[in-house]
Amino acid sequence: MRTRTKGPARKGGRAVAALALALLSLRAAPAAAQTPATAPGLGQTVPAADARAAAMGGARLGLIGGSLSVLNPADLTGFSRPALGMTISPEGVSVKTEGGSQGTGRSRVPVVVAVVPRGSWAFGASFVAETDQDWSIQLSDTLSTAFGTFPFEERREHDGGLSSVNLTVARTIGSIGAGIEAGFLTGGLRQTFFRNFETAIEDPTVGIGVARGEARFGYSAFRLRGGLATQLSPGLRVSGMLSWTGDLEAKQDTAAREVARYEIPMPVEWALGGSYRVASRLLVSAAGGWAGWGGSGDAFVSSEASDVWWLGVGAEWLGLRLFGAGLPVRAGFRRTGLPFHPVDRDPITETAFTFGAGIDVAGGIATMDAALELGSRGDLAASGVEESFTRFSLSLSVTQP
Amino acid sequence: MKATAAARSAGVLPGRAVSLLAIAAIAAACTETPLEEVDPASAPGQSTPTVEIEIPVDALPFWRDTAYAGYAIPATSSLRLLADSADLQARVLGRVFNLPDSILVTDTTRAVERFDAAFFRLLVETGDTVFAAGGAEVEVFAIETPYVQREATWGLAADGEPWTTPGGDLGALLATAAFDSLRDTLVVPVVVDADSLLRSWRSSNGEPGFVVRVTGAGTVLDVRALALGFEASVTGIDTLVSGFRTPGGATMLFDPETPAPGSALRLGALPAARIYTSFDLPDTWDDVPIRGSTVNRAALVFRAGPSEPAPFTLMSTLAVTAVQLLADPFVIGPKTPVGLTLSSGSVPLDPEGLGETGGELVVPITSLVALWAVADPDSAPALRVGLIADPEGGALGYQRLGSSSDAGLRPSIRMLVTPRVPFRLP
Repeated sequence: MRTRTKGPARKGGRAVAALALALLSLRAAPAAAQTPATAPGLGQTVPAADARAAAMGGARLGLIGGSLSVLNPADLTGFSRPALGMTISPEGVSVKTEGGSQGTGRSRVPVVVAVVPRGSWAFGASFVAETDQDWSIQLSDTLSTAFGTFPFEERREHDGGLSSVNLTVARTIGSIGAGIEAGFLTGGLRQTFFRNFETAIEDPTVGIGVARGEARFGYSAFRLRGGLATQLSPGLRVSGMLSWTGDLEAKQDTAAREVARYEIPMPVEWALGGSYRVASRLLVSAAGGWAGWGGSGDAFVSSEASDVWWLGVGAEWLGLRLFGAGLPVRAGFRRTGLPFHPVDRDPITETAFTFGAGIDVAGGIATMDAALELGSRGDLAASGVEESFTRFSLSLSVTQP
Repeated sequence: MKATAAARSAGVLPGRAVSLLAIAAIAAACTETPLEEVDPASAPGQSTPTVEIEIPVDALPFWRDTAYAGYAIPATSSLRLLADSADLQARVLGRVFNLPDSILVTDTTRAVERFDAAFFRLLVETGDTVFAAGGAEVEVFAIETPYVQREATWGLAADGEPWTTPGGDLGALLATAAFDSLRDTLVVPVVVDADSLLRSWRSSNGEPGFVVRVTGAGTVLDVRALALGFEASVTGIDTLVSGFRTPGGATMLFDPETPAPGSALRLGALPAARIYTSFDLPDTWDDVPIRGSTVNRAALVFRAGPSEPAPFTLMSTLAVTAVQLLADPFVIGPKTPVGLTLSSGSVPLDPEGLGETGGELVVPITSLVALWAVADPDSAPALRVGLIADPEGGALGYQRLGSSSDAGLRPSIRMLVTPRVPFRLP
């Protein structure tokens, strides 16, 4: 625990105190601290991939065999029976610091999808975790004053993120599936800090209480996605998507006196992908895309944004069996740019090797897929953020017999 | 999912077994634990430092201070000094009333036939007593001029009525005793006819009273209790019956009299003095916002002036408490109503601890300033504070403190302030 002397604000001391106040309160740019990837901007983007797609490098467009991921609305034309699926993705994270690393974890439900095909039509509804802003940090320090010396503990916490609720319509026209999706982006962010002072070291009867602050932001935006998908041959399916999102309105709805409203430009996105059955038991897939987040950074106090590319490749092999059931095993690799990073730092790139397997259960009514992603994101020296992570995704889907 | 079904084997696993696997996997899900940071300046997230500021009162938008005296006077104080020193002359006045004309003895009320003997008994606080090397004599005189208990001073028997001789007009010597050493109980026998004296006091309700003085150069007796003892003959029994009466109408005369405070600030003294202030705070000070901020601690800081000469040198520690004043003390005056105390405890005013001139007396007023800071400006409480020393009037000594007119010793307001965090999107 260090001792910091803020001292009586006399003469030059007052100027120093005011300068420190201005610097610390207005621009909280971490130099090389324990900044988690969920801290900058709107947080860490969460791929809306089910465990099968996640295990195949996140290549979730045009995936033969279907995917309860959410990206291209036209991919709903791949379903012939009603289905419901949910994915959970707990993630263990090791945040690299100047002096070592610290472990933490994040739990998410990245995607919940329902699909109802009706003839050549397919209707879908989904709930998607778009970004994750959850993190917390605690620190200890000592405040030395003319009243006494007060050790304190401080906790800073962000709780929230951006989610979307989406309604999708898709139709098969000839050999081409076309889809359109309307999404409402919602969510919020709660920022808190809490400083708890112990009594004075010199005199335990002297206390200075606590200091706290809280702000709440509510998010809302509208998104339109359109896409096409086609089965070029029984073993080859391709898919493409284009997305437009209106400005995200971030409204400070805390009880604070100043209520602010921010308009955050949201990206135009496109993505292409497909899968190809190179052998009867081997499927390969690839997908990539771009999102123009670069114009989204102006609203943030300590973060910048940049355009991002992503690319994923994967394979699925159907040669194994377990207790008489087929056991498809999967592997892949992905490289994904994260749109937000600390100000004056380099953008953050995430890479991961992915693995997984799936199985039909309960007489084929339900399907369970699991994925394990081992990866890292950022570079401490360059981007101010560096994490290694192990993400486990588990998807459970049920299909109407 | 037509394609899924086709892509996978027709074989299946029991749902229960896989469910158990799923539950185990979820149970292993990672928990979100906070990261530990060592450097607040580089930690992520928006925060705000807790800043110490100190504002001299001449930099405040408004400040007035004064010392009012009279909250404890010799008549109401427990301080009773008998002194015969170069610095201080002090005497005690009193009246003995309620002397009995009958006494209850073993369930029978018996008439007092005669007061056979009488004496004054003084219980002395030996720790605060200075006894002359050559001994001291305690004398009790009849007082010739009636006095008013709450108005009598060394020079006055009552408002506008001076003694013929300052210090009380001494009449007949009633009791006397010489002591060559200090003891905690001094018995001074009545040397006149006890029966006639006590009958006289009984019939006159003690008027006009008596005065106790000590002679013996350098003697200062701190008398904690004074009583008249007597032995009386009563009807029907042969033995004498003894009794005690505590004098009423007691007060103390002393010379020199306590100087008036004037524009100086003081705590202590007799008559007891309090410090009353009224002030306003700026919304910001050196770019540190005060209004709207969390005030973690606020205190009035007074600076000691030079020690007073004897006999007004503060010798013992006073306990100083800050109270909220419920009206403007510069309109209402000394009788300004007093509200709640502004801190959970008192602050010791230790004359030795203050040290040289400029030593600080720091009196917390956090609750008042904290409320002011977060209240709407139109409904914020007025910043009016009184400082009360306990015990009030327990000693002649007092501590002078710098006022707003004392350059170099001006009070100030010291605060620990945590400004509101101007949260923005991260």
